[in-house]
Amino acid sequence: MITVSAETLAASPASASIAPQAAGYVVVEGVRKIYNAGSRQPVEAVAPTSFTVKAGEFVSLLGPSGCGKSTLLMMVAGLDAPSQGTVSVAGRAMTSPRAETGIMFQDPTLLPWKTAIENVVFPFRAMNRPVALAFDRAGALLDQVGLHGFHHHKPRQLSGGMRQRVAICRALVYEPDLLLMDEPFSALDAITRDEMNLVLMKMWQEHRRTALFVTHSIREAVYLSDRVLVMSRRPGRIIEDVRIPFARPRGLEIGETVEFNEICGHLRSKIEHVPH
Amino acid sequence: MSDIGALPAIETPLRRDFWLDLGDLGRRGVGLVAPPAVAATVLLGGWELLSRGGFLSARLLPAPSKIFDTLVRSLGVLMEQAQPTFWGALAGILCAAALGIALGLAVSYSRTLMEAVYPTIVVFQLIPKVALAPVFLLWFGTGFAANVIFSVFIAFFPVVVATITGLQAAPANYERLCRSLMMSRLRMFLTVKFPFALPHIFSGLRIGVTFAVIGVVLGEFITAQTGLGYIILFAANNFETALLLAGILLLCGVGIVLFVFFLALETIVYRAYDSR
Amino acid sequence: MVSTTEAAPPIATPAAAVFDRVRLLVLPVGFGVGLLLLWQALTVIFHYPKVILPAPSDIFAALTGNFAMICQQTIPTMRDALAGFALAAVFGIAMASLFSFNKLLRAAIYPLIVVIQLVPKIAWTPLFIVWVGIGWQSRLTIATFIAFFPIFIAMMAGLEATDRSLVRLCQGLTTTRWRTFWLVRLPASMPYLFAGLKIAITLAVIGVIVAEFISASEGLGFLILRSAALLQTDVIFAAITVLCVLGLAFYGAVHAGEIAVRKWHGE
Repeated sequence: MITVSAETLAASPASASIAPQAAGYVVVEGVRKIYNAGSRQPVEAVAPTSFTVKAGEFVSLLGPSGCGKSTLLMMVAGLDAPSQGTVSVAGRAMTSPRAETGIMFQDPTLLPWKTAIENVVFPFRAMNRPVALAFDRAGALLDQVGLHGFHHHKPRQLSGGMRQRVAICRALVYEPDLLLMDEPFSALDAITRDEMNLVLMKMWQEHRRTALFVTHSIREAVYLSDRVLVMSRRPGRIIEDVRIPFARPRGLEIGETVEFNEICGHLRSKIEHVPH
Repeated sequence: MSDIGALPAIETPLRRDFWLDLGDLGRRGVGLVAPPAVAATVLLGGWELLSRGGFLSARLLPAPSKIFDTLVRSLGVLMEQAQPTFWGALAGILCAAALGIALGLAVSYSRTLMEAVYPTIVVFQLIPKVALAPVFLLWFGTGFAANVIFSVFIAFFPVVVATITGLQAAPANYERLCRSLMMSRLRMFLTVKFPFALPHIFSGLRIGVTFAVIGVVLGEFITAQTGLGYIILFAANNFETALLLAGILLLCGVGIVLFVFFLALETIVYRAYDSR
Repeated sequence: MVSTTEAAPPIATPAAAVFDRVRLLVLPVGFGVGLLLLWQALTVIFHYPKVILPAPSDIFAALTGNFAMICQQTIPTMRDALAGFALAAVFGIAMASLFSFNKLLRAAIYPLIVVIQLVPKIAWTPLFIVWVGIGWQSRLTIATFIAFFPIFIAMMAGLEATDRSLVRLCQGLTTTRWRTFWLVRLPASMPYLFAGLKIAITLAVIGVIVAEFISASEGLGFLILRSAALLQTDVIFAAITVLCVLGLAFYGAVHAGEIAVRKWHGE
């Protein structure tokens, strides 16, 4: 269990007075995204849509390719602005990125010239926070995801799955209260993907953040989440909100149960596939 | 205690016999060097025989042995004249590198500057810059400095273009990552985008070195006072073909030394910032 | 709850989009024109001697004033550059094609070519002058020599780059090596070849200019050198402008050729 150091609490703003779990409350209201507005061919990526994520919840955004789920995630991250509507996290409108949000992409996005542990510590450098303490925390995180002995390996010496594990550590090292993940395991093979789901589950259990997870894998969404939001084809809109009833901690074996597969079937029927 | 649920260890490559590896490397090296070495020997040998047999005019194409002989005899003079050529080219490329990288960084950082200036740079690339050599003669006289300035002018453009291209080389997610970590734009440019640009920059520098040598040699052709260019021209005017070819050989040597210099530079830089 | 309008940026209007596109055109053109105007203004205001830096208006005047003479000098340069380029293309394509059939030949000769590349090719100009004499002969030779290498190397790279699976498919269909070459590898090498041709035509012009600098008998390079001696800087810049236009025209012609070949090949 990683303890939050006093200086990190001091460094993060008002949300420090609230326990980490209660922050990270995401509200998306009437959000719409249009690209090339005003040109001859405007593209509506996200139709007006709304949803909320309660503190401490793990929510998946599930949908076919190009439905705008990544765009929505970028708006929650404050990296993109909606054309209409509001996005707020912990009561604050997301017009710019927020230091208490952790983010993971499909590509591990590690700096190739830095070692694994230096990559994990990178957010502290980026945010101009003292780095000395971070190394201990980073080392502990890397051990937790099973990378003991690989702290000083460069990314090119690590497999794809291992790199994503480093990315998970980097996203968690500065104790964010909201974790945003954009199809982080899509580029991995099926077996590694299952392992990574286990790793993510384990780390999320320990550090109980609010999480918003984008994926196009139904089974992954059901396995990981408390709630699954299904998005329609582009222009994307939330068309279904399914609560996942399984208790935690969850082992991979629940994937074989009837109930799991029924939920998957239900979700599959809701997903509108891109016409051929 | 082996745990089935534990994350798998990374496999180590099969331990092979050290001597087998060495032999394999040796064989591959020989395979790479042997054919051209044989071809070169055959060509040189044939050339020598044809010269001895009187089939080749000694005035137009002296035998390799005569060229080597001339090289050895005139080594002092040739080395002396190689100095201005070598140092001129080196000074030229180093200044061009400093100016080019600086301008490339500035143009890439500001979008306005990029939109305004980059097309102008592209237009300048289209001008056959060697044709401007007499203008530089007019402006700066006939000394060593004038040669260097001309050399900088020619070598500058590939470096700028390479820097600009390189600074766009980092995948988009890196910028998103840095922004999500509240990193200042300048810091992101210098600590993340610049290392990713290095392979492109080095490739531009390689082109720049070639151009810098061309600039210096051309300057020496026109001003005809010192340097290997002058020696080559002088030899041509006096039909001393052996001296001419010896001069070209030495020029090749200058090229090799510069090439090795930049290779060493590349190796040193990549030790800390290898983004490949 | 934060109000909608405060949080979200204004939706891009049609006017904003037009402004964006205009900006992309106006900024660079504006910058270029601005530079020209600044140049003109500086030379006039500071009374820069025409010898050091002629104003754009002076250059234009020199161009129109000496038009006939400039044209007369352009012809040998253009002729030799184009001829050299054509010869280099023929040799380069032919040799690369031949080499592509024999792996041993390739492995033997290619590294030698790379080593020769270490010497800047203009350094060979005096040698060619010794061999074939001053005049169009040396200019043509140098242009061919300089233009040959990019074409040869590009063609070799293109023929090598043919998708291995395509080649194996042909082998599986027991196609003769000649037909594999003609039907698969040659078309696949076109993009590489044209990249090399574009570089080569630029280099051919440069080669002729350098030869004219050294042998100083006729052509635009000779004109530039003579004008420098006569301190006629405006004529120099006029000649360079003509060179730029020439270079652009040649480059454009090669590009047009590439598009034509693509169309003919049915892409």
